[in-house]
Amino acid sequence: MDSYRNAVKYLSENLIENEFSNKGPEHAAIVLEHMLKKTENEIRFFSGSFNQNVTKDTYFMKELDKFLSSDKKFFLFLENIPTTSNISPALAKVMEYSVKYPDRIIYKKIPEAFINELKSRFQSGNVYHFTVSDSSSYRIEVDKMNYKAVCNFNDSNIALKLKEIFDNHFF
Amino acid sequence: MDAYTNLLTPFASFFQLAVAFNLSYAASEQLRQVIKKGFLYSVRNLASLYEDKKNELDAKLEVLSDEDLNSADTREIKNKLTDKLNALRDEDKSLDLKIKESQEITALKIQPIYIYTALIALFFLFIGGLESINGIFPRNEIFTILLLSTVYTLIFYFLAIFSPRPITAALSSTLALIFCTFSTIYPIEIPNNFSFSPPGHLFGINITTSPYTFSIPIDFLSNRNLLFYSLALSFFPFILASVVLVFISFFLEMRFRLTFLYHMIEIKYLKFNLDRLSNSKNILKSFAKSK
Repeated sequence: MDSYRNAVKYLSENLIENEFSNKGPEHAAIVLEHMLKKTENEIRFFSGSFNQNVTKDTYFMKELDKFLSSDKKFFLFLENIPTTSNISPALAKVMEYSVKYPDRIIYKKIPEAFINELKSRFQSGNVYHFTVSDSSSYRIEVDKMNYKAVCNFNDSNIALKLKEIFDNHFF
Repeated sequence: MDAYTNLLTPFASFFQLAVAFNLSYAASEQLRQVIKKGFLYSVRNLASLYEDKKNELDAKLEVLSDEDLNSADTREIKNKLTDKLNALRDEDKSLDLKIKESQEITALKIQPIYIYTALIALFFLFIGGLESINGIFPRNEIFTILLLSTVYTLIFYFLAIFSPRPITAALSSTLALIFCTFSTIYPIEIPNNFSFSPPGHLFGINITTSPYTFSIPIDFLSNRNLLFYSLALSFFPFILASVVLVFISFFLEMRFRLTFLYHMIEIKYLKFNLDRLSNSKNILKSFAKSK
């Protein structure tokens, strides 16, 4: 795990333009942790319910906490907002901070139009969860069951498109 | 022939500086390290480029662990990329070694040349004094020392390059003293017929010399040229090291840059083929084209 973490750290810190696959909740958490770490201004998440399969990772949680307490912006689109008893610690933290900082930490449930646009833009007819940091890095989950995703720490073309779709329906 | 008679004396401080620089270089490890760092700057940049690319490829290969490498094609590409990483590692090591070797030659192996040159510069100061007293530019002494020093330095430099160990400084300083003595004695005018018969001895010494015994026709060199040559010789090790390192740097850079470029093209091609085989990445391709 350490060698994978080091590799992701190297790619993110050096902004290497490299499209790579990412599979499994542990590896997903590593990529998301480094996306949070490298974000300069804002990060956008589109997730199912921000459940704890991925977010329970200690390093991710630490980084999320650091991010939320900074002055950077955090926007979260959720497919479902879980009931209080099913809320993951990570989502609970986001909710807590969104009360404190409603201007920069926002979470919302996705509108139907967002799903439709994603389906048409991806042309495969599927809806993929994704994360986009600033206008440069992204992680698109192409297989929800296996947490399989495609990532890149320096691809503004895809990142800007994802950001545009997100912002069209979020704000 | 130039009309100047006092040529060495006005440059006494230059020769003094040469003595100081050469001896400081030979004696001070700190000074050698500082000067060494200035050499092969661009090649060292290339070495860091290798290091970066090696780390980058290492990271890229590590994240390939999540790639669906089921097909023989993708596995083969991964193996080829791993081979490339090993090739880059080897090249990087070899470049490091070459840089160290070159620096070793300039910084340590030719260290005795610096001592020798310091003594020669000292000798120039000495004959500069003779020049002042006699009011004659000592052409013969200068020419002898210049000729012998050039031959000595060049032979020594090549010996230093090919010898596995540094040649001792003691040898260099002994040779320097021999050369200085020889070149001082040589132009001394010995009368054509010199006889010495001490009273009370049965045998006397009878030497017959010719003024042309050691004579080398140096008329083609003006006094001014000899002076410039002397000035250059006083800093010769520094000049020699710089010129040699410029060439080494150029050849190392050319060789390793071309190899590096070749590796990069191959890696790019392999990565392109690998991405082409990934279904997940194909999803992105269609998204990238969407409007």
